[in-house]
Amino acid sequence: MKKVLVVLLLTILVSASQNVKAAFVDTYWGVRALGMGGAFTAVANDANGPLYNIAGIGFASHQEVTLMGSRLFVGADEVEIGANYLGYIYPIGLEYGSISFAWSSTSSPGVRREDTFSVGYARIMNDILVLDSNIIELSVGLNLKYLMQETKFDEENDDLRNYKGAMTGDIGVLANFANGIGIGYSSKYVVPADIGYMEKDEVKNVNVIGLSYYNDELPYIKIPCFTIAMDVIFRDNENMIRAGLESYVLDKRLAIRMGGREEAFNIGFGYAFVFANEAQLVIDYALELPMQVEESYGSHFVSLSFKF
Amino acid sequence: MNKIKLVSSLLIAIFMFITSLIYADSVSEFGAEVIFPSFWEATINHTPVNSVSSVNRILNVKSSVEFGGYIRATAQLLYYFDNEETFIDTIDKGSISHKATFYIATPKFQSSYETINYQIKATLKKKDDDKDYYVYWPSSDTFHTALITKSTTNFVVASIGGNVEFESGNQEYKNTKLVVPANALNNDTDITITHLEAENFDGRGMVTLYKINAESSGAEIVSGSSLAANFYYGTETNDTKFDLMYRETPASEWEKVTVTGFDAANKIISANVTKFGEYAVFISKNLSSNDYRPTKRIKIKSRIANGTYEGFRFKYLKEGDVVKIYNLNGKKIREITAGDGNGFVWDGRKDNGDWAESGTYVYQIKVKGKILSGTIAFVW
Repeated sequence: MKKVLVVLLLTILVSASQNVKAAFVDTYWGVRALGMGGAFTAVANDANGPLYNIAGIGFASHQEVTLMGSRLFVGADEVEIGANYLGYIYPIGLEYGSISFAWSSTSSPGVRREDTFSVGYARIMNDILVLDSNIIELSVGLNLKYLMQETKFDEENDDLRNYKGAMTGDIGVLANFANGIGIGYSSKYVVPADIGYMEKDEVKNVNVIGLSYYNDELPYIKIPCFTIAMDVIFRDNENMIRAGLESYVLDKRLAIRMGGREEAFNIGFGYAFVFANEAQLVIDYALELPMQVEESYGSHFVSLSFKF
Repeated sequence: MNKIKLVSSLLIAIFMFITSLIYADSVSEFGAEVIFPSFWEATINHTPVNSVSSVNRILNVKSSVEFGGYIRATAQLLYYFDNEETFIDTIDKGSISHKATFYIATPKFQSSYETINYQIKATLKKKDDDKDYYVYWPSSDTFHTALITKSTTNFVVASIGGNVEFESGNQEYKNTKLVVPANALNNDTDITITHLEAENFDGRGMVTLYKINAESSGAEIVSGSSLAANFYYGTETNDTKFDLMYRETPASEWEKVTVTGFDAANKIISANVTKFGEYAVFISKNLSSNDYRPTKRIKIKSRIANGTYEGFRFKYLKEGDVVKIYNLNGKKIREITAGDGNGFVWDGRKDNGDWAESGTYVYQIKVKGKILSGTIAFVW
């Protein structure tokens, strides 16, 4: 346990020193995560893991591919912003860990586009850190990213190249305790990535601490397969909290989720089609209702995932 | 019988001799080179132009020529500026008809002159006579002087009222005029109408701008009273839909003024003036949603900072309107409620003064009870 805390503390200290200026606004995709308000750092155990905490893929037991599409701020006229995500995780084996490949994109046609390509790796470290698996399982991960932005400059700025890209990476730690508690830490954009067109514009480092609790059945109110989670995000002078919960019903096929943060309230659900060989086809939907943006019917996210 | 014929012939000859003497005396009234028997009289009718607007800078004279017996006539306008050394130019009107009103206008002249001096000349022709006959206004060897000016001042006694009229110099249309009713002012005062250069109000087509000022300190229009104003909006537009706007000083926001009359033939917009200040005529524009949105959707931080260009301009917004900027998390990062008279500008900064991060942003404009949204990109 002490080793766990040391690892966590060192990671936080290393990452906290990288307090640089901002470029990309850290936006959260992943439909299951969004249904839970984006509080996923201490969960992260599926193909959405590379977005929230790369260490989470260390707990993957099946291959999984997920594809997400979305439309933001539906109903706000002249606002056309879409986000897409494609993620794949492959668990090699307990002693080798898991790898991931992911691509996420946000675009406003005719204006600007952001793309992130990532390759990740994570491994449960119990054997190396000599941890009792009956008490805790600890995973550590690394995610290498390539950030690219494209801006559709007009005649006012037509002397500039449209594209700018840079490399960076994330590190993550996730500890799952036998009593259902999970503690996660993710430091994103650890390596300064300059994506400025005319001056230095380094992507802002983001540190997130997540807590979660899982129970097969929540006592007293008897909610099945219940997860509650909270993330605290530290980003320059802007800190925020996200919280959410999830429950699986109908023999773990139907998921119901809700969560939120200061600017939005989220709900979501998912349904898994289970096949004979434990393969699953999962459809997830999430709705994010903005609290501040007016005259919007919310942002809508849909994903299709295949676990095999 | 032969005696009767002889006497008749003598009488006719005597009559013709006496008549020729009479008409020979009238030559000197019209010019030494012309001989006008009374049957061949010609007169130019014209009301003098005493001043020309230094903003419009066009002299357009209204005139007519009466000519008896001549078969055709042409007219010309001769003019020069300041002194006789600053060239004389001639504008031909062409053929004119007996007693028919005609106009002759100069082109727009440069702004450095202080006076314009002009003369109207008509050239007349008789039947079967190639010779040119002339008639002049004011006379063949004099020019009338009109002052090129931007203002006119008239003293108005509060208890009596009065008129103030700014002569544009274009007699084809009416002048800008202010009618002050009795007891509409609280004090006797000089009232000045000044014609100012129209401003480029974000391309919104300001046609003309006047300042109406009471020169005496403390002189005001009595509450509940108004002055009847006619604003001449000039000849540089053929539009027929206009707005009249008012502002107290150049630093104030424009307010719309109710138009009480519109005379397209005389290029006059009428309104009741209740405050002294500046009045401008704008080409009326029914604003659509897109008129409020920024035309440039991508801006770079360093170019805003060094003044290469301004930030995102949301046009036509005024006090009471609001612009909000959100990041893609839906978090509001900036709220703008005031502008520079030509709309609101987002300079790329957050409410706390820090520069916003590179990214795509959503804006929402609250105007006239509607919410207009859109996306913009701010990058470094």
